[in-house]
Amino acid sequence: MSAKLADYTQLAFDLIDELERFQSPEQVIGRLSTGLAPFGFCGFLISTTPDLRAASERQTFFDGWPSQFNDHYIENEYYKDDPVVAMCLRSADPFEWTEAPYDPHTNPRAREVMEAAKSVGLHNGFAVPIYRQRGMIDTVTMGGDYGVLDPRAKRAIHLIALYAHSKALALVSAGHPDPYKRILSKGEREALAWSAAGKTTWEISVILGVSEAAIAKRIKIAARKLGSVNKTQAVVEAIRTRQIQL
Amino acid sequence: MIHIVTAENRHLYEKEMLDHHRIRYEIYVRENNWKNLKVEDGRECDQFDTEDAVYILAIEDGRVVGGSRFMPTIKPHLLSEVFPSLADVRGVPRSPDIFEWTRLFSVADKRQRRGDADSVTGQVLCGGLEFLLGEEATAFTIVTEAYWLARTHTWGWKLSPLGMPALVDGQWLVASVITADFETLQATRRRYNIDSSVIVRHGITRPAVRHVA
Repeated sequence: MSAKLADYTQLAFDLIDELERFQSPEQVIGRLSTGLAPFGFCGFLISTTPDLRAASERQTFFDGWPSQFNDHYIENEYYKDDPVVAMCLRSADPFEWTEAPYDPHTNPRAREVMEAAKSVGLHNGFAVPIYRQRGMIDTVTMGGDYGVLDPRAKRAIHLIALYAHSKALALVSAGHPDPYKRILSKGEREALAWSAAGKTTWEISVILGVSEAAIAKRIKIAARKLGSVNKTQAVVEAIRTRQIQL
Repeated sequence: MIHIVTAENRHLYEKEMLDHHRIRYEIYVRENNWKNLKVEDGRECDQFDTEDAVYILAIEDGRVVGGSRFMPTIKPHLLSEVFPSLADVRGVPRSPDIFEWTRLFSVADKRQRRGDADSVTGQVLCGGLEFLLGEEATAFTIVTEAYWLARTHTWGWKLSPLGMPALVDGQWLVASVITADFETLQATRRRYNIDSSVIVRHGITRPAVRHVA
């Protein structure tokens, strides 16, 4: 058993040293996925923690969930009822999903979130809240189908989460002062993704059922966030930072 | 500009050093509410404010607006004496070419100008790296709150952890060793739009480590 505990530490340090050398989000996401597998995880997510009172949207830095679970999650606005999100907002310590309490009778939506996660293989999981300044909190969470996490493994995962979060922000910000201002909203991502697929502003407006001016505005704001001078450059940058995928 | 203050030229900075301890009190004791800090007469000083410490001070029109402290790791320092458990996996690095970087601060009214060449944080970061390169240091260690990792990463710094995170006074702390090289200085300069040296030297300042070794 003690050999295995030493292995967890070694796994974490090797993984972090390797992540440090990577320069693309693609590499970091890939290596993080394989690095977390020995702990029993099959996916992870690095995101902001939405303030439930402010009804803010959850911003995703790196999406490592299986089966487009993140899209499904955001589409259904699960973060509004996710007990893991609620727990992140009040816990300074990392915790297992099972430690995030909810009452399935008074909060059937919370149960729905957890069932949806299970349906893609996320039976249990671990979450690391990361406090930023001014009361803002980010979350690194990972899930899978594992037995028991021993305390040493939890500490190793905590460390991995801290470095992975840090690396994700550095890659998304790409030298810009505030990484959080470079994260696109859902609407902006949609508009850019359709644009990347070769649709005109008018076509996108028809597809998404909003005005052409609104689409143009979304693309303009997205380009500004990504420090790009035009739509093409914005698309390239959004793909590079993995905010949209082709 | 960033002034380098060692034991040898400290007499030229008496007023500025007093101000710096007062600012540290304002920031670490009053703003950040750090526990177990020694306070004397409204100034924060700890057991590492010794002859071995090298300070860098950002001074604008005679006013101290930011700064930092460096300790040679071959001497007693924060990580070796107070938080050795944070380096429980890889050990506390101790070498003449490795410094410990602590007490990085800028005064409250100078924290908004992010990304500009006159950003105090940018000046202190670039000044610190320049100082290290001048000392022929290859690396430095830091003990930070977990959320600081992300900031250091966005400055283009290359980190390696020394141990597991630990909860201290309700904050998760992490110890890391960071590469000091020209590339790191260049990345930090780019990040803050700084294109040349920010350092000023007054009086005799010999290399800090040879001096204490």
